[in-house]
Amino acid sequence: MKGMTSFLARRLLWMIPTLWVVSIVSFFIIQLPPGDFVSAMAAQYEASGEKVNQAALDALRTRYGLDQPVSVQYIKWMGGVLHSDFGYSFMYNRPVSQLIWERLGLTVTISILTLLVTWVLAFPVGIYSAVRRYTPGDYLFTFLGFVGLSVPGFMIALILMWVSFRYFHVTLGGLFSEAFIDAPWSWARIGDMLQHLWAPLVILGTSGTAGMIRILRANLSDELQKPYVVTARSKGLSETHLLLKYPLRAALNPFVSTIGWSLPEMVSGETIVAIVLSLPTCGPLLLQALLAQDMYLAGAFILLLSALTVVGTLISDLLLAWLDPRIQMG
Amino acid sequence: MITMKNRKLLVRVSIVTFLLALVATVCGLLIPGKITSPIASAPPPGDGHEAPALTVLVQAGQLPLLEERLPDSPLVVTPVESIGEYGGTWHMLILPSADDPSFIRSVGYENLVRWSPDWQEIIPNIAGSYEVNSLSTEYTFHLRPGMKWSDGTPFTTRDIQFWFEDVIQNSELTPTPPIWLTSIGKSPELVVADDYTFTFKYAQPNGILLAGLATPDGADPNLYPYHWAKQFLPKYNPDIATLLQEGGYHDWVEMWNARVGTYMVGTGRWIDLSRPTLDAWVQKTPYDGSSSQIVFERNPYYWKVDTQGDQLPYIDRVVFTVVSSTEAMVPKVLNGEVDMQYRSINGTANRALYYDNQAQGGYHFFTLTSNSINVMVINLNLCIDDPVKREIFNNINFRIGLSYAIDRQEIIDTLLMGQGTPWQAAPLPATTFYDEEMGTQYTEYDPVQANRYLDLAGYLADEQGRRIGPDGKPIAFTVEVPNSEPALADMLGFVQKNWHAVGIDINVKVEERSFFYANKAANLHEANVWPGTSSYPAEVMLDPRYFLPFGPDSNWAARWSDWVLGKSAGAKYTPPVPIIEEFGLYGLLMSTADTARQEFLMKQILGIARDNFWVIGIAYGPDGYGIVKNNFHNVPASMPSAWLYPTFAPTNPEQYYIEQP
Repeated sequence: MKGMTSFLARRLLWMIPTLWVVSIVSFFIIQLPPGDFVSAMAAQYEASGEKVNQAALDALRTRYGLDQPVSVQYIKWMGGVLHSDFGYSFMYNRPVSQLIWERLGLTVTISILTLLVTWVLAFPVGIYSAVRRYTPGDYLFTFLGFVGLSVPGFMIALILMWVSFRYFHVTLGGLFSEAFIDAPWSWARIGDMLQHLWAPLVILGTSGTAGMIRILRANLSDELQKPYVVTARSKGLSETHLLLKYPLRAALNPFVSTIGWSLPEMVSGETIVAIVLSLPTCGPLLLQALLAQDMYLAGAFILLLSALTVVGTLISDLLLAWLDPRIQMG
Repeated sequence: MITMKNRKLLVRVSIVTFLLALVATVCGLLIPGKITSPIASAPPPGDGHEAPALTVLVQAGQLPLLEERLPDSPLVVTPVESIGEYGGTWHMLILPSADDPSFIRSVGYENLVRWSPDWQEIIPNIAGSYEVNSLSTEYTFHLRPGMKWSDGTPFTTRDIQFWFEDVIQNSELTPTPPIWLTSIGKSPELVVADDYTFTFKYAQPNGILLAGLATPDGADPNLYPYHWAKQFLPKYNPDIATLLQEGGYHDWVEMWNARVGTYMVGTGRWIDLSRPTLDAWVQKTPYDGSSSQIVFERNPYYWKVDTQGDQLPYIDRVVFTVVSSTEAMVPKVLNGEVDMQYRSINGTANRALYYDNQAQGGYHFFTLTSNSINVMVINLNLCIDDPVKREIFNNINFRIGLSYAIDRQEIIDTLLMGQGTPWQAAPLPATTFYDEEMGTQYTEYDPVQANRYLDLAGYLADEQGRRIGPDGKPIAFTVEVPNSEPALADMLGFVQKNWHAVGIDINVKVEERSFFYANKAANLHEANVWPGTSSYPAEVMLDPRYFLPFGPDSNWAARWSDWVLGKSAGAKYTPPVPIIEEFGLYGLLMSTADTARQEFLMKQILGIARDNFWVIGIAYGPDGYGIVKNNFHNVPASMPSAWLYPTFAPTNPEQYYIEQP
């Protein structure tokens, strides 16, 4: 146990310089495209035919402090962050924390539901595939798995949208019907949301499920060949018991080691599919912020995602240690 | 003879008297004689009605009677088709951010004066009438007694005065006053005669005040209700610190921008809902990323009526649904979920799709008459630093050869749905500055002629068919396209093929918008493309970027423009004689107020541009389009497409109506 504590302490301490370096790198990278927020916005207006007033743009630039060197801007930003002031978004002129917080609940909900759907589907099917290899059932799931794995999520989304419009005259997209968008929470509103949610869950779940099935099938089949399984069978353990007790745990190894990364993914969400379906989640917001060089919003996002990644990896390692007694820390 | 010294004088004269040009061609306002507003507002023709929902509120005692809400002489709007019915919701689509021009182009265009729907004249709007003296130094406006803000407070000259004294003349809020308000860089004097009459007095003539007021930026004078905005200024609010603290702002200027500001994204105009307005619909949801739907509801104090005296608008609510991308908007249009819109949905590629689906979606098209001089103008950078390329590009026979090599009809048939006419970068037929030769020269698809001119230019082909430049290497260069213009990239694909056939190889480089602009600004581009400008006479003279080097937007010769304006960036780039001639003429044009003379001078400039063939055009047309549902009425069948005329607001959206079941 002492090894565990010192391991934990060391990891937590390392998190601080890691996050700090990440913040510097990301802040500078956000600035890399030529121009800044003001010129990005001006270009966008001009592209749609509006004419912009140069003097007003320059005034805005000074107002936002964009005419100062990047290092000065970074120091100001970091100073704010350490006081939990993440700054204002230029695009929406609201505190960054407010913008992210508004969407966080929804994004995490969708991510968790997707994860659950994926696991609920993938585990039984994966185990079945592993145990009954080369049967028609296995071939069917393999085929579906490859289709789901290779077709990009946004492609499935677009096809689904087309089918839905063409044959059912329903436009997929958004999270609520018009009547419920600004209504207070109620059972009816939850019901409406679930009605709209099935599309993203299906689309996002498909690729995740496929991957999991294949990995589980491969790992589990490997494990089932091993001598200890034969021994257990000869000692009279039932097939189900011996399947679930040891080989499954070993097969879960790769999952648990990547589980940590589902934490930041929960927040960034699936960006492309969210854009196609107009979901008000975090992913599209991050993309818009990066395209517009909305520094504080993008910077805060990346910082948040990095922190979650680092924390998530730590959780992964701990889970792995708990799951697999062969692993030693330190 | 243009020397260094009088070049600067020329420049100064150009800049400071720049504005006079607009007047003459837009409305001929400098014809000697006093100007009065074209239409005097008539008194309401009898007992008018109001929307049923408002009558309910009146009866409940929550709203004053209609006669008390309307001004003494409301503006009378003549409906396009017929008197409308009250009710309904107008659905449109909007992008998640930076799409606020959508509001201005639909529900946010209420200025002192405005454009007529056909963009031919300026007519009164908020101002009931106006007079201009013969020297154009005094502009008197008469407001409408009894007109009120959306919260019932009277709209008077106090609001105009507040804008003028506390916003425009406050250097912290307005570093430079708007160009149209000034004359020779100086702001006028505001004289307030009474609650409903005020005058701008200038020392020197200002020819474009009325036109400036009619453009979207001209809404400024009536966007600052005194009774509401004064709480945000320390001058009027001793307790401003409380407000600052509540909102978490660092200083009052920051708070002003966040809550009251009107320019570009993130400023208060479409975000702060406590702001009273004069628009037909009042905003109920902020456009700040917090909602997927921006809702506007009828303004009970709206000051316009139809010809029967019924209060406008007919439509109850306007709802903008936020959609993440323009592609995701298409199914919604097809499904009939959009009542009337053109912005973001009217790509050329989608036209056929919408057309096939008209019956099922229950909509039809309306036309946006574009009079852009060209769908794509190819700019070879005549100021490029590389001496070899500079020599090649500046060779007029080279450019003529390139132009003859392009099969414009193929581009029209494939990418423009067969609707278009081969054309150079020149004002369109039936406009003031139309010059047939300028538009049609070198537009025939004639590879034989092309090869002849390229040979004439001195760049003969080698055994493999590639033309060799003066340095002995094959001629090849890059043409840049911003990724926001995929249509242009497609056209360039054809151009590339055509030019390859005559021995010139180009690399079509589609790049992110910010790189496109950065390269342009640094004069690093070898060639690039951009859509054409407008043929409206005012814009031809105000934005002649393809005829003479006119600032950074003249992609073909920005450095020559810098040289003329005396900027350091242009120091090494001496322009050729024809350019200097053009600038001489332009300077003369700027300093005269005589319409006929201005047109004459502009035609001279266009003649030089024609003879020197600075840029290469492809085609003009087709017209744009918009979608309108079959049960949505009073929308004109066609309207101009522009920004200074903010399509489609001047077509009176307040008189649009939806058939009620």
